[in-house]
Amino acid sequence: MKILGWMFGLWFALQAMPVAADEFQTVRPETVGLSSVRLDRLGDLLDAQVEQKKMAGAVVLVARHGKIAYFKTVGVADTGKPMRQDTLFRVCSMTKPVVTLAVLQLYEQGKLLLSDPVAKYIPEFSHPKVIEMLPEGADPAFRLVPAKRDITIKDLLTHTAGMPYSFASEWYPKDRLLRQMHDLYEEAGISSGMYETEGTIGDMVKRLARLPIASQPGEAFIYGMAADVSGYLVEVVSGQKLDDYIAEHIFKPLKMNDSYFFVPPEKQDRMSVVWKSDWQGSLEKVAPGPHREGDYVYSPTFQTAGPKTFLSGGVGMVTTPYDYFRFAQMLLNKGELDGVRLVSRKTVELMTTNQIGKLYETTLHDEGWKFGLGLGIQADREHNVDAGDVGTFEWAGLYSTRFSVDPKEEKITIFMSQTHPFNHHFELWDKLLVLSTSSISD
Amino acid sequence: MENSKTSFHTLLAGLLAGVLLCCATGAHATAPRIAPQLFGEERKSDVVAYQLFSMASAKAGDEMIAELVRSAFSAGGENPVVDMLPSRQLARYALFNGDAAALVGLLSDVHEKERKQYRVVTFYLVGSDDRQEPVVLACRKQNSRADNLCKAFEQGLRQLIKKGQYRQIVDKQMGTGKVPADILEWLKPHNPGWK
Repeated sequence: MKILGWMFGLWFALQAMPVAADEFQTVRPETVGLSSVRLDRLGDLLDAQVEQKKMAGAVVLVARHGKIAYFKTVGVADTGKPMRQDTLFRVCSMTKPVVTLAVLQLYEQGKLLLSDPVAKYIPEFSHPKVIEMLPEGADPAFRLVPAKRDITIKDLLTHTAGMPYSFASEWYPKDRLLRQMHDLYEEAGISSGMYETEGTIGDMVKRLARLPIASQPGEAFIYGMAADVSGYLVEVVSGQKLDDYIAEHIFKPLKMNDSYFFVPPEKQDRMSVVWKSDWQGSLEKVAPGPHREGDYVYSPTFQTAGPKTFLSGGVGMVTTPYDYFRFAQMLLNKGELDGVRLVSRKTVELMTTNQIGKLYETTLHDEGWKFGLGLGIQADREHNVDAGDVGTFEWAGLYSTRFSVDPKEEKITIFMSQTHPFNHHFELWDKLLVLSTSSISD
Repeated sequence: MENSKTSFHTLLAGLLAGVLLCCATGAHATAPRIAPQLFGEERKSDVVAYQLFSMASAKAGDEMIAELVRSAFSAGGENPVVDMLPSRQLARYALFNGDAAALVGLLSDVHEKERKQYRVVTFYLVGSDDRQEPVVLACRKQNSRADNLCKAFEQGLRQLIKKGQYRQIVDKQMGTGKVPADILEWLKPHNPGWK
């Protein structure tokens, strides 16, 4: 009886221990309750995309219980250069959860509160004004009204600070408010960070702060520039440049050895090029430098060329699927990986709990989705976009990179390609996630 | 005797109520957490401006304009708060909405049909020779503060030109040869009333 008790205690302790991430090793899927046959469907799906020239190449990684069960590459990173497991990808908005974590580390140290006005650290944000559009034909086209309350740090982390991306007017061309915000941002030289940008993030955020916001603080989910403000906030509070802070406090402890804001020259040959696809079979490499498509400006080279002074908390990161898996596994482990704790369990719970009340996160998903701190969260399985479980959290990057963490099944799915435009990949990712979920066989 | 007791109790109750009322007025501990006022100082400015030059040459050109404006006001005996806004639309809005008494910008920032409501002083010209546009200080006529600012600015500007400081500022920021030899004659056509 005693022995049984000890065995039960040991089993229980093992279940409670956070899982360690394995070093590039994969395990047989069946050992972690996944089906090899079903996981192979992911590869088949991606192979077909490459054969049809919808995309040039991609990497997909599926892990469960801390072990990588599937780590497949397809196609090419560049002409004559096959995709590799350690190919470097521009993950764009998948930078946001990392910068959110940086803010929350400072929060845990008592250096800021989520309820603090942003103006406490960046005075230019004091007394914000909210823009209200007047009827068509009015001159001026808008009026400015005082904000009902301060913009808080939590507003930044939940995208309820009223700061859209300038190019949101391209996504919603009939929206006069977004068109007006675009015009103001263009006048003020506000950069999304997606192209070579002069000056520092601080220079830009101070100009952004003087512009009106698009909604009363806390009243609307408007995805965009708030993460860049968060990035500058990290600089102000920590006294370190954003890339230095994140390298020291996140990349290094997590052994994310292939993650950067600006890629060192000796590693640049491992970067995938960015491909432009019409999803009908026409694929071409995006040439270096900025490209303008309507209101959207992007570049494949801002992390390797140009002034390299602008550290975008919204879109600046370059990484590998394995490195990002380590970040995701840390979140799944509630803040710890391989014995190194980055934030407390309680803070990860805060990140992965709905923080936007009755609002919905419909930028990437639909009405069944909420938003925590830096992460989209599936709130129910009744709506069209399903990630496998209530409580799944995920996000994406504009060059078609995605990650999804299912805490209930302890499963992580990561997909990385470098394909523009972003909107083509939705169907592919939704199917990938279905295949990943369907591979669960225990 | 009964009446005395009642009167005493009434007096006591009244005194107690008075003491409690006095305590209530000092009850900051019960004030709400969310204060009605916003954090920090609200920015108040007399004059608004915006970045006039293209991004490429922004720094030198806008610094020149800023220095000319500061120096002209100073020479005219005024020291207004000048707020450089990041957007032309916002600067124009501030002027037309009455948030600022004056605007530093292009003449075209003030609609022609509204120009009569403003006193306008041209102090620089941008663009090519055949298509120059005045850079102005535009002040609301009906606003006494604005009117005083404009008068002071105009007086100060003419002093800068007369003493050679205007040319010094432009040459320092933009290099020599940007303005003609006779600055007064160059600006006169755009300043009706200048002799």
